[in-house]
Amino acid sequence: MYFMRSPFADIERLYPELNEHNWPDMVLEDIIAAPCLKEYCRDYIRRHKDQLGLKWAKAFLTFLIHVGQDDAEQVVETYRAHLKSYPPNAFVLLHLGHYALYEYGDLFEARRCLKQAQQEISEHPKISNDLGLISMLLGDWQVALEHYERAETLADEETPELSIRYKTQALFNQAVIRANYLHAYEDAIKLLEKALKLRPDYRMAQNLLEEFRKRVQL
Amino acid sequence: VREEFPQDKGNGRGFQIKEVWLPSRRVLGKITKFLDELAVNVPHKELGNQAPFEVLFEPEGEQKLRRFLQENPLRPGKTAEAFIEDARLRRGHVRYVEAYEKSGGLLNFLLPDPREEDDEVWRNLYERYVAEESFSSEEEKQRRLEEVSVLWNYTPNPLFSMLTPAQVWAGPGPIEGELLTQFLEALNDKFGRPQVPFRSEGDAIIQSILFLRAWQNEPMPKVFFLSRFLLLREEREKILKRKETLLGYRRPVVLFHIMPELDEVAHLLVENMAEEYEADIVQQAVKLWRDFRQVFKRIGTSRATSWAAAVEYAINRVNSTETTQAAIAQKYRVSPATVSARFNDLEKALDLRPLDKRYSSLLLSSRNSW
Repeated sequence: MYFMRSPFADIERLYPELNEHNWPDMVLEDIIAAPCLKEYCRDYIRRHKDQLGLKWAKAFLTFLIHVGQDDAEQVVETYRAHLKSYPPNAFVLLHLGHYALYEYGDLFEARRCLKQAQQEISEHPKISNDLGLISMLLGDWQVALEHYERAETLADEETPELSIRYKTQALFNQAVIRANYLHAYEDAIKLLEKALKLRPDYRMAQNLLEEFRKRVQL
Repeated sequence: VREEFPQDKGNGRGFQIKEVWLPSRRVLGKITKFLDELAVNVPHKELGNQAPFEVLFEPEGEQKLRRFLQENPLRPGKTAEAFIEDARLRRGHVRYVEAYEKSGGLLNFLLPDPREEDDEVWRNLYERYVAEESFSSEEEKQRRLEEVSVLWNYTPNPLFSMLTPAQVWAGPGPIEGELLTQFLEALNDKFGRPQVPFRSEGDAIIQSILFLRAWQNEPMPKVFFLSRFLLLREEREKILKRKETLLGYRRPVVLFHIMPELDEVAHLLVENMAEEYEADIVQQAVKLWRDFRQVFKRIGTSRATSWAAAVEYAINRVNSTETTQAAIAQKYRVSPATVSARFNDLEKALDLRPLDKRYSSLLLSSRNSW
């Protein structure tokens, strides 16, 4: 006789008290994300409570564990096997987009996920920053700059730590586009100076600023 | 990934790199596709300085090409039949949908394969001008669909690294072949010697594409500070024009998105320019006229022919094409002084400049002065 192991055996072991009643609270408790994303998830559960349930909670918690372990393969597998059939979730899509881009270099799949996430949660600096990078990789400088400028503005609404991270990333990439692709080195220097004012230990920005200053002097 | 690179002896130019560093194994397939596309576009002395695709339009061209292929072996795995099939030009659809199947050349070889469902330019055009409009008949809808297809063909598309689908369809030429060789060497120097450790395949792909984008946009002092991107795009544009000419295809003028209801001046522009100019120039002329109408309300008593003549003269000026006010005046049967006066109105109202980005088809047309 064979017994099928529950796909969520690990979750059942890690969360023995998880049940039909407390799953929304337990899921929300374990989401480590920016406040706006956490708020979005609360709203998502409220909007789709009829379609979600304990099974979804187990799948979502499994997804969270794999994200925490930075295990791209398992993140994608968990989505395909257990989460794809539920209403689109910005938190899930944002991570799928992240892994499609940074792990597999699949720009078009990443863009599809991020755009779908954007339809769910229109304002998020991480989405704008990643879409900016994709446009930059596709050679669409103008659209890339628009995404990065948007990310810079949206970052103000995050926690101070996240705000600085998203903002300086957006400023750095704007500087790269202005210098390397539009040959506007003076503008690029100003953007890097702005980034370094917010994050003086930003090593990549320091190095690039030094390089651009040398070029301008030449 | 380190791979033995297939040396292509069949296309005259030949790739000398035997071993290259690539960020992903799937890139190899795109390079092979690129070599096949290049092989049919490169002219050869033995073919009377014609490319294989051109030879097939000559009487007994196929036999000539077969003889050439016997003396110039193809890359391993490629048959003469397959080569001739690649070289044979056909145009099955109004839309260059074949672009989705092409390598996209140097600018696209590091990117994933393009798919229609990822094509935001097509989706936006279709939704805006077809899906969201109502049509009085099926014929009208089909006509609009064809016009939208033409627009898509000639619109720079991020899916193809800002080449147009038509330029992707046309394929690469010898300049792009050499640029690919140079880039593979540069990529090898940057990441392959010694091998740079990457966090993931995605990281390697991203870093390689960013390196490509900076490289493609570097101004090159030896060629008037033009970038490699502009050079290869211009080469593809020339190949495209040649292929369209051989197929007897003339790009139609599409105006519904610029001026849905043509006024008298726009009609005159189309009537007088369509034969002599390429479609994009006629479209720019109508766009210039539309923009002028939006800012300059006092058209006065001047005749439509005077305005049309001034617009045609203006579009030649912004494109740096040699022409005179007298020649244009004669064409529209107005006086040179009238052309001059109306041109001054246009110039002032729109703040026109030479090679004005709004109305100039910069480097896209071989008729430009450079």
